[in-house]
Amino acid sequence: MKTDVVKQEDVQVERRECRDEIMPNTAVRQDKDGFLLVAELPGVDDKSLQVTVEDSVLLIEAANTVAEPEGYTLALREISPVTYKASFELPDRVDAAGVKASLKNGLLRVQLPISEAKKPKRIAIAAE
Amino acid sequence: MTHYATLNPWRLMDDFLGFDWPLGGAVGSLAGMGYRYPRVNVWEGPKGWVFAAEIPGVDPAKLDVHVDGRELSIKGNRERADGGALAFERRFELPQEVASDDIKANFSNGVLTVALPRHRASEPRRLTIEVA
Repeated sequence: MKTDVVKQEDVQVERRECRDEIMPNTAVRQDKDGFLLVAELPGVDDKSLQVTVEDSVLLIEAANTVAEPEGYTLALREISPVTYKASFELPDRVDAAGVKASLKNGLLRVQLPISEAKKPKRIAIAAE
Repeated sequence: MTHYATLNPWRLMDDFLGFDWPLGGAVGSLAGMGYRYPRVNVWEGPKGWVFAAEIPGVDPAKLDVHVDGRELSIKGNRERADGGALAFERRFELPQEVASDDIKANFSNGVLTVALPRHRASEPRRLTIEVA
């Protein structure tokens, strides 16, 4: 009888952190100076967040940190490690060089100013 | 089709009854995602419990964490992404009493963490039997 010997190396499975990719809750508001994009990113610190603008596409990528206190066992899990990902095509009138982002209390705010040249202008009417 | 609206809000109180806690399951996935706010992770250890709740957009100074006997409540008002305000409250019943003087709470990056030590009287104790 032949016995198959399975070596440990053969069955090693690559251990990888498996993160779901989800779109964060996001909303965009507009005022006269531009747009304000707000995304809810709980558990994300500024080191694990990337905001980029490339070819008029704004890309938000972040990974949350889920604490695992030592000496405790998990009794209920509703929060998992996830990758937040969202991309937005910016209108031409947004000044990509002037985009600013800030992160506070789990909310990311991205200010997208409208370039001065593209702002609506009031035309003075010359009285004759 | 979802039926969240038909859920009795007082079911929130059923989150923890004794030690027969739901381990993920229906509470952790479906109902938790759509209906319960904030979402939490809960850990249990010999020293007590640790809760982590995702509450982005809340001012930590206006976050109300309250423990009364075996009940923990987390409530407050938060700013949503669209700028609107959202009031929330979630309550949990712990299997044992908490040492309410030693509760520690921390808020960082939109996540509230609360450590609740067991009340000493409810800690399991082993009695030493003196032999005369």
